[in-house]
Amino acid sequence: MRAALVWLAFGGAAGMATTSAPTPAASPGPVWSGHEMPLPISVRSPQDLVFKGEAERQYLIFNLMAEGRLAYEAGDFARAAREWETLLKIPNLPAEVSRAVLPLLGEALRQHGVPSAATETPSARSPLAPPTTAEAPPTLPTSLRTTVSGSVTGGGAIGPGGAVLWLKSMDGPTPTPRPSRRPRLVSQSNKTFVPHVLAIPLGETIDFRNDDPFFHNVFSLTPGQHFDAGLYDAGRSYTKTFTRPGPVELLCNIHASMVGYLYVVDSAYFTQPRSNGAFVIRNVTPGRYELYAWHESSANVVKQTVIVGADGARGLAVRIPGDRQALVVVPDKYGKPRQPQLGY
Amino acid sequence: MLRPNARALVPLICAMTAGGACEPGTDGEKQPRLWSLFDVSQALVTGSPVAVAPSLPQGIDPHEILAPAADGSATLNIIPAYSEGAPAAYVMPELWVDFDEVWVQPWYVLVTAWNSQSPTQNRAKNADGTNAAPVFDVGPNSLFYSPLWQVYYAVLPAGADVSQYTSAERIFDDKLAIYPGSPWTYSVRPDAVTLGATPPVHPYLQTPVASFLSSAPTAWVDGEQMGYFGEGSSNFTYDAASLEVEETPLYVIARRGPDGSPAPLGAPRVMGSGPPFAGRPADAPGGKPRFGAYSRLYLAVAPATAAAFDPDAAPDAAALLTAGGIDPEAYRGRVAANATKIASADVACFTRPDFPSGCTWLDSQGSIEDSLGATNIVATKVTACTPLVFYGGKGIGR
Amino acid sequence: MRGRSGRRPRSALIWAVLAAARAAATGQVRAETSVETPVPAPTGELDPEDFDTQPEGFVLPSGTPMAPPLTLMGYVDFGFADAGGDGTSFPPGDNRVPADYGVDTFAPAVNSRGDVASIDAGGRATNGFLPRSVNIGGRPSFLLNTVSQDLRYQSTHVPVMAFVRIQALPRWGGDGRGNVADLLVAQAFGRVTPFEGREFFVSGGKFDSVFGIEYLETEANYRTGITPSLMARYTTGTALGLKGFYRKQIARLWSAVSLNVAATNGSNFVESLQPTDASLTGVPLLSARLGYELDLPRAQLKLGGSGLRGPRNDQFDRSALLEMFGFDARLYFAGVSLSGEYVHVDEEEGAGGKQTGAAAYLIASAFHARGFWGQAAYGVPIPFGPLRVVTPYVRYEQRHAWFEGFRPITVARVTGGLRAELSEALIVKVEFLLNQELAGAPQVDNNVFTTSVVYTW
Repeated sequence: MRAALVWLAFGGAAGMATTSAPTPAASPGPVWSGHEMPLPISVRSPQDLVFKGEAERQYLIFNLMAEGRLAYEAGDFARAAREWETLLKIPNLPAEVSRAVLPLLGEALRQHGVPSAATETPSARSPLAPPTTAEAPPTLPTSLRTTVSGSVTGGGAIGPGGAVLWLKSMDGPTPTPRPSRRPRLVSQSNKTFVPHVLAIPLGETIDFRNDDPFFHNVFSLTPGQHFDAGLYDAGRSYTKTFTRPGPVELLCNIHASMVGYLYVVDSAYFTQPRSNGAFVIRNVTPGRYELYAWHESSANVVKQTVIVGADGARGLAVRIPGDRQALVVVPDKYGKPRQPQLGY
Repeated sequence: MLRPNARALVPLICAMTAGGACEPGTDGEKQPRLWSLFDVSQALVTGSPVAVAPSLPQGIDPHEILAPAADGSATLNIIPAYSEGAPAAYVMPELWVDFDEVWVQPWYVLVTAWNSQSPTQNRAKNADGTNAAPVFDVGPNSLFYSPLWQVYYAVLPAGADVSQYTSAERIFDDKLAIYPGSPWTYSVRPDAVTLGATPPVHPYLQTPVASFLSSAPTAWVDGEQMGYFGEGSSNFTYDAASLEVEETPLYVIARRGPDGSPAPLGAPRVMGSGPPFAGRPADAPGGKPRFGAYSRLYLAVAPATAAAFDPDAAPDAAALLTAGGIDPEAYRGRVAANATKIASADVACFTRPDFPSGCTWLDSQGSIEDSLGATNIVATKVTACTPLVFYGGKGIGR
Repeated sequence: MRGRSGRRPRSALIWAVLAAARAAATGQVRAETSVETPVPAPTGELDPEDFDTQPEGFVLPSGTPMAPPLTLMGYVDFGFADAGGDGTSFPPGDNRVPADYGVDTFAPAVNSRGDVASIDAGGRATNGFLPRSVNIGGRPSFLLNTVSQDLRYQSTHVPVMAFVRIQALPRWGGDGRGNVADLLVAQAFGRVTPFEGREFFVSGGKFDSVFGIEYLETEANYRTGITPSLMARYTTGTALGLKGFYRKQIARLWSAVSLNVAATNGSNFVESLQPTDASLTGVPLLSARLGYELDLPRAQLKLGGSGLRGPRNDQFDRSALLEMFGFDARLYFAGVSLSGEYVHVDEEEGAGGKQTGAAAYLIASAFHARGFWGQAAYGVPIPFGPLRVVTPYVRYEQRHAWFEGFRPITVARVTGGLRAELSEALIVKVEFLLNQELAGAPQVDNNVFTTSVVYTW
């Protein structure tokens, strides 16, 4: 078996070097006799059980790698893809195994005629998605994506629920988000913005709808995000698409006490925590990332490095410092400060 | 139902007002009022008294100040008085009611060069050779108008056009050198008010009054030319820092009427010479008093036995005066405290053979204060410009 | 399930491996064995399945106020000023009385309160038209102008707000005219919003003027420049009384109209010109401003007309009236701000003495004033380091005023300056005032250079 393993390793290496030119369908090679566990392992104690489980796991990994390779070289791309997809479902798969298998899997899928995400051209994207300047990196099958979770603390009177978190890859470009097909709603009701904080992907359209029985005039003076909805009365809406990343502070020109926030995220990996601070970012490819956290009570965006393994990253603690001075003087839409006690 | 009297609350309000300390006397009943000759000549037409105040309810008859003529013009009266025991006379061109203080205002005389020995030697001249009109800035329309001036000599630069200098602002703008002169009394007058055709004389003694009483041409005030009377120099003193003018008491001799309130006798008033009860001797070097141009009227309540001397009604007493070489007119209207007899112990000094020395004359500040005492001397709210033109029995400077 | 040779087939093997992995993740122990595999303790983390793809947003619990009910805000205004001449507008050699009737004593203002460098009249009498002074004369000095603290309580369940503004004014060199260190209650009022959906407020207490627009910027952290205008002394004082405000939006016309009405003990002359807290005549003054706004997406135009009438509250005579009217206009577009105001004041002579915030005086003279100011400012965003916005501004104004019986005085002023906003709480301003006496008052050296640093909390 050891010799077979060595052979496989060499063969695998050689295979990696020549991924683009598989040999045409040839006679099936030697039938791998690895369908069954070659070693009978007796189990008499709990330690034996653990050993057996681990040995079987390693055996399976090897089995699927080899079977897939044999099928690939035999030209049976559908079977190769099945074997390797099954391999990638195994939890805690060593990273070097994924790295070895992934390119071949993509090729097998392509050869089989299934358009893989890796070869998707930009023109095939949805017209709603913003154009990207760089080619999108290969996306993994969703089963490989992991989750990043943890909890946020701090945030002053608003609480940790008002935070926005997102990941940016340190290994290369970060996948860009895809905006929704329909506009998201930010309602003005009871002289408040509902929701108070909303994280949206780059290119998202927001519908500012007046659900109060009187006028509102939403605007923002955030640099780079200026807009002025003008006056609109009950039931009417104002829509705007946000194409620059960063925070957007929402104010009302009539009601100086109204404030809300949008955060336009240019990463596909973003989320908002629950009110108690617990958060999860789903479908994250393993790798090294910077985790960013924004909150209205923090003067700066909080940043920490996160290593996302094959089983994700858990138990992250994000602390929001309450070091941002609350907006003392609320400006009107022309930037003129308003004395709050006047009410107009 | 009680309505709160706002005025009664005023002292409390004054005390509560932030940052303010109510000065005594600002009790809400003050009605400051100024009468210049413009106002007095107006009152002459309507016949209403001027300077009516609660403390002087009958006010002053404008006919006392000006004598009207048929053509609508008026002449400034010489008003008889007594001061320091001798006949005196004054004019009274301005009156104030409810003014606690009055200040000197600056009066600018244009000169071409400064001469400290003889400041008026280099008076600037108009093109026609007459003296350039002096300049002052606070006219009779303002409640702060004051006929009591500190004269300054403003030196014109060489070649300057004197006709341009019609306001104090211009004098400051051109940064003219200014030198202080003497205090002077000048009263602005309407054109129709003059000194009359003949030189003014004491109404009783018929001798000329001071020659400085003059009806000068004009002076500039706010770009407007106005006539004025010259009424003497250094006849008042003022505090150099605050510019407040010192008052001289002017006593109105009165007697209590049947209802107990004092009523003036109508006799000539008595000009004091210094602050009440200060005991200051009269400052009148060479017979030229340095007081009197600004006075406050005081009611001097004389006893019931007081009376004014009338030479026509007491010919025997007048004959005694004539025998002593004294013109009886020099005693006309002089009040003696013991002139009549009410009780058996009283002395009716007009009928005594030692007349006039047996009378307690109320003809000086000292005798009034000594004879009547502080309780019988009541300050009124009326002050006046009363420059003396006759003092010590003769015209000042004559 | 065992295979032919007793070995397990691969499919079963895969299932077993995956099941073991899931069991390890969820902490459950496999039924086949009693082994206690070490499993991580439950951390309270949520199962990924609980979350949707797109966040729903964070909604504040109902009733959560945007800000805490009790808000403390304030600022400190610190500066450096250099006034020309002796710091007053009194020309050297002038001996007229009253000294404050012959010049514009408010001209050499050095700070946002309009305090001047000096009011030393050389001992001459004045009649109550002097501003407050910081007593620096012509000597360049650092100044601690104001320390202001606002306290605002906004009730969460009834539409009532209470507001108090307390200001500490450190001053030195008391000259007997009230220019001493002071702690004053600048404003204290309660405001009710009776109708939920309407912009209608009623306030009672001591509050800002309703006249004109300059009162909106009396405080150093709100004003574009440093010093108030030449007419601000008539329009930016506080008064004690009752005030109502109503604004109606007209969306079809992109417009709004507003009405601000007040009945107060005193007028809106600044404190040094009249006492504000009590009524000396027993009759209130009525003031109002009618405003119109045009709110376009790129520009805003605001126009207004104001009026005030009632017995002047610096004396006791009810029949001595103060009447004022004025017009104001503001235009904002593309970062440019243009504003201006015309004010017309007529005061009848009052019987008796005069009472101001400084002292009691002999005479309440009749007084008239007409004046205007116009200002242009342009806010340039300069995100460089802590710098946010730099606003150069320029203002031109004139005041023609006279006391009855005195020469009318016309003064003009050109003001230029620069305002820089650093971070959200720090403002630095530099200003130069060129005072010109056009008529009625002699030319004096009374230009001012002043700076102000305002820190807001």
